[in-house]
Amino acid sequence: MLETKSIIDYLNHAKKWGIVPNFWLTEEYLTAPPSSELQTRTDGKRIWIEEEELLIFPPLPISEQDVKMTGFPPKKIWSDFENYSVGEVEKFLDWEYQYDSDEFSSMKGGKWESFRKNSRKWPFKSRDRGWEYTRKAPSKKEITRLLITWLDSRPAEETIQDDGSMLWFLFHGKNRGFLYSKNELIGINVWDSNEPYLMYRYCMTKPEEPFLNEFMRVLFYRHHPGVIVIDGGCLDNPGLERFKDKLNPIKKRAVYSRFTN
Amino acid sequence: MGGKSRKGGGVSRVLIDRLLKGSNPSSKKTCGGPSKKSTGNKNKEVQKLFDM
Repeated sequence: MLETKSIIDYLNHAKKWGIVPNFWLTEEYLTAPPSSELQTRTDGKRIWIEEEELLIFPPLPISEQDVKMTGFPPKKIWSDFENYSVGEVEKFLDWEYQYDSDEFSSMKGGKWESFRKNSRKWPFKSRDRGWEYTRKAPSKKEITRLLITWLDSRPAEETIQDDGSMLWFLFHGKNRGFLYSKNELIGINVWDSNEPYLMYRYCMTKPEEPFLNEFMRVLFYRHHPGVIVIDGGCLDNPGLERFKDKLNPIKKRAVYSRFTN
Repeated sequence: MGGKSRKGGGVSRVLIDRLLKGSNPSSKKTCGGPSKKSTGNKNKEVQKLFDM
């Protein structure tokens, strides 16, 4: 007999078992559209989040007696956790990066040379026109304008992954930082959290501004000292992987989809 | 940016671009009236996000 629970119940069990969250295990991500359509269920021994036949994460035991997953029906699990998985690997899903925000304050040493140099180019070039980084949200029209500019700069054949979440977080996210220059919106940072981690969801910048993306990332990390930040994946984009590798992650984890048995 | 889609890859950036332009009163339109091409559920999803 299955019972419907809330996403919060799953998050509470994850907290209880000391699960290190992946990029998607946050209250805001899982309760905002389109993930808010997901169902959380329990059979009394395990609790899981599902979307039709797909389990979003590994089912979690309710109590210590239920740790063995025997008798659980065969299901595909979309994304495992760093420190907890069940079943067999089905396929590689994506990379997941962890960064120490404090490292972006100092950026000391040879390994930072390239990013340090690049991240200083935009503010140096823009020193006369000025800029402001603020939580004050612009109008939807301004966000739309930046988003369209960004989309127009992408290759026509490119697809946008998890587009519903992207639109939701850009327009309605609870945690957004906006960069303005001469009253024009030129960058958006979006994040949420599963304490003590921060998830860096989006960094969108005006594409005609070289090295602005690097500066925007520095602004994000310097505004959140002392935290471990979980960044999104590479989306099968080798260029994005190379870029994220150069930001000196403290961890680069392979995320897998799995089968329960 | 962000993470992967759970269901079958992503959505064409051209489609989102077109829907956003349709939803943005300030954007230029090359012709009058709505597009004859149906964008189905995706159109409704994007519109819903704007209406919230």
